[in-house]
This record gives sequence, C-alpha cells and structure tokens, in this order.
Amino acid sequence: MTKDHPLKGPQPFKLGIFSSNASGGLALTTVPERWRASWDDCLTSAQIADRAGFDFILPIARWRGFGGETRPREWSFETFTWAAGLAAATERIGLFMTVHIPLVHPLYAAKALASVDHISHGRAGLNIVCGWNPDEFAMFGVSLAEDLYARAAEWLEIVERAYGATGPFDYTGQFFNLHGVVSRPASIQVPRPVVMNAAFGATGRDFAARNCDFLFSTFADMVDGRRHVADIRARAEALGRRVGIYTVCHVVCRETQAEAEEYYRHYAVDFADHGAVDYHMSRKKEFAHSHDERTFAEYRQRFAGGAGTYPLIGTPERIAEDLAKISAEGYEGTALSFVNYSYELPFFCDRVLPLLRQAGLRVERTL
Amino acid sequence: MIEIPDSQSPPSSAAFRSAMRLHIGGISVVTVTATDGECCGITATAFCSLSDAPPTLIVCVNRNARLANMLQAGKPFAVNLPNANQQEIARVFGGMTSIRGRARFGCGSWHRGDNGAPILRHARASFECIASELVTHTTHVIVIGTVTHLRVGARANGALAYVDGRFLAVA
Repeated sequence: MTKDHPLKGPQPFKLGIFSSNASGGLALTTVPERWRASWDDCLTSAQIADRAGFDFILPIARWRGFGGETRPREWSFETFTWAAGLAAATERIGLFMTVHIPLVHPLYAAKALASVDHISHGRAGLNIVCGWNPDEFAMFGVSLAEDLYARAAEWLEIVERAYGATGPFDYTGQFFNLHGVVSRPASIQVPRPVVMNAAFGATGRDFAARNCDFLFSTFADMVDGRRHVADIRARAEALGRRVGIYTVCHVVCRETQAEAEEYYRHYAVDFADHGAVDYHMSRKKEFAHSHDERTFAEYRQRFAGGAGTYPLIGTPERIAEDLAKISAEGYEGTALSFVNYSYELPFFCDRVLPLLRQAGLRVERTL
Repeated sequence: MIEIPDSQSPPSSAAFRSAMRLHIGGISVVTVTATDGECCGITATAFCSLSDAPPTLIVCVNRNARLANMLQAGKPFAVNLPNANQQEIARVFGGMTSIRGRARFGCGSWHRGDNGAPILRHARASFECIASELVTHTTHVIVIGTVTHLRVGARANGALAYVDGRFLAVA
C-alpha cells in the first residue's frame, strides 16, 4: 500500500511546516509560550498539519544552539528518527529529513531514508545541507572542506545507485572509495525519495539545478523573489531539468492587523532573545550563503521572528493575499513557522486555508 | 473527401510515418532500472498484447534509445499506461520537453516495482515484465516480455491515446 508524495500531488501551492523539531522553531524569542519542541509538541503539530491537508514537514538539523538566554535549537530531534516516529503517526503528509553531508555517510543515510520511506509508504524526502556552521562542525572534529557541493553530488549518486543496483558494486570517486556496496530495502520512491536543498549562492543553486527536485530560497521582498525564481529556473533548464522553487515564511495570523503586528513586535522585538539573534546573524552572515545582504542589514526583527525568512503578519485575508502574490512570482509553495505551532496552526487552518481554496491556490483533497 | 494516393513503391520513410500518424496508438511509458541502478524511461505507442497464456506482451523500441541498450533478456522492465490526466508525463518521457535523462522521473510519482523497474502511480495499469526475448529488426528492437506482476488502477480518468501527432483523452 504505497501513497503519493504530496509534493508530487495536485495542490497548486504547496504548504509545509518548518523547524518544528527544534526548540524555538524558527524564532529567537524569550516569550513563555515559545516552542519547546517536546516529542508531544512535534506529534501534535504534525497531526494537525496532516489532517488539515498540509503537504510536508521540514525539520532542521541542529547539533548545538544559538546561545543567548534561551539557547534556541540546542534541543532538537535527530531528523531520521524524528521522521520515522511521525511516519507511523500520520497519514498523508510528506516528511523530510535534513542531513549534513559532511557528517553522515551516504550508506547510513540511504538505509535510514529508505526505512522512513517504507514506514511512511512513500512519503519520505531528503533535505541536503552541504555545509554550514564551523562551530557546529568543530564539535564533530570536522572542518569545513573545499568542494562541498562536489562531495554532495557524489554522496547523492551513491545513495541512488545503492537503491537501484541489482547487485553489489564498487564506487570510486574523488571523495568516496567504496567496495561491494549493497543497501536493502531500496526506497519505495524511484529513483530515490524526493530531494531538496536550500541555497542562495550560485554554486548551491547549480547543485540544486543538477541534483535536486526542489530548492528552498529566502527573499527580502517580492521583486527580489521574482529574480531568484528566474535565475534558478534558467540554471535548471540549461541542464535539461526542472526544479520546483519554494520559500520559507514565519507567520503571525490574528483576527485584526493590529493584533498581529502587536504580537510580532512583542515576541520578535520586545522579547527577542538578543544574544541568540546576535550570534545567529553573525554566523549566518559569515558562513552561509542562504540569505542576501539586504536581509542581513535591514531585518533584525525577521531574524528574531523567523531566522530571516519572509514575514506573513496580519489577518487571514492579508496572509492569503501575500501567499497569492508569492505564488504568482513563481514559487510552488512555502514552508511556514509559528511561535507555537500547536496553538497557532488551528486558526491558520480554519481561516486561511478556505481563502486559499477560494483563490485557487489549494484544491479539495481527493482520495 | 480527398484521397491522396502514394504512388511511390516502396513508400518513403516520411510517407510511412505520416500514414502511421493516422493510426490511433495507446500511450505507454516503458521503464527499466539497469543493473548499475540507473533508471530510464520512454514513451511508446508500439505496445500490444502477445498472449494470455502465459501473459506476454511486446513493445518496440528504437535501437538508438538509451533504454534499448539497457533492456536485456532475463532482465526486468515495466510498461505503464498513463491515464488521461498524465499527458505531461507522456510528453516528458516522449522527449517533447527539455527534460533529459533520469530527471524525467521528477515528473509524476514513481515507485519501485517488485522487479525493480519504476512503476507510475495512478496509471491505468502497469505490467511488470521479464524480457524473455529481444528481436532486432532494422531500426528497432522488439521486446517480448513475460508479465510477472500486474497492477490495475482506477479507470475514472480515462485513457491516453496518440493520433494525428496529438494526444487524445479517451473517456
């Protein structure tokens, strides 16, 4: 009994939840209702999203936190095991696992990913992170090497071949030298579970264009977003491929605009975890290529609110309009974060999803 | 009605092809996973039943297609019949878009069949086969497949045919 992967499904604009496996979610805030990411929190929010027809859940891979007062992300669930747990407790939603290529062997990942693909009957997905924070890698005694993306391409090729090959094979590459490789069970999805990465820099985008099904990219404003979409599409088309482009937003949805803006200021300015914001912004600016300069310069509140992603702040009508604009720029979907997913998803599902259906961005689910 | 006789004998390749455009062909997507793990698929209309005892089918593949080199006697392949809503998949695997190679499997939902060949979800039917014989004739190879597994999907969406150089949904 295999199931459809929702990212291959009929929804015109796909919706997911992001970073619910880690404390704080995407926010850097000290408000008492901040996301604790207990297992029951993860489970409850995933089941709300699953029943409401959300298409995917995307976790972050974190091995240490951002310091500050609340040490956000220090508490986070390992994503293969986390996804395996959710796979058994959900029905339809797609489940990503996020893997740091330099830290995980491709054959370990191939088996873990296939395990979740079987538990979920074909709903697994892989989020590839080629390299990020030197502090975090130092914890493993791993230094950030050159050729991160070249290594990632070999890594992914090994996973695919391990699934497809009918007998043991040897692999000789620049980074991996493997003998008698075999991996069963193979994934249910062919040639492998869906694969995404998040990238802002040119090399990362080229990697996605060549190897991934989906690319997640942040943007500072709508015009900026349009430029990203055109750029990524052109890179994929030049390689005879098609890559679905997604973005990430943080959400405060309330009955009135004033209420929403007031709460955004409350948790992301007045009660921002400033120590964590400073740390996060400095790390991201130096070592990642996932955000542009303007985002760094102008959007401190966005970092506290949702790690530099685009803010969706307002009434259900306003947020539905914003999502329609994002869709019109060419994005196929977005991952969303909330201060507290379990508290806020029900209102979002009750009030925003019907508006998205009216706007033609979502269709009634058919079984 | 105007009849255009083709006086040339034997007819040219072009004349033959344009006459064959008048024939309604059912659309199938033939898929294979090579022994090294590489997946490949092509859209084909030259597919038909050969026998029901044991269930056997034939499919004709151009020898220049990469898939033809991956098909071997004793090895698995699959024939998928897309439904009328899966025309884009037929276009992609028919080389009618810019998408090349295994990236084509990004279009549509594909699962691993019991023999390892890719199976299209929501297809009207999928036949998993073992290639029992390959007969090479001129430009093409005729693949005789013994059906090992059969999957029949919902018929609600209609069938997909190809005629006059166009896809046609058959309710």
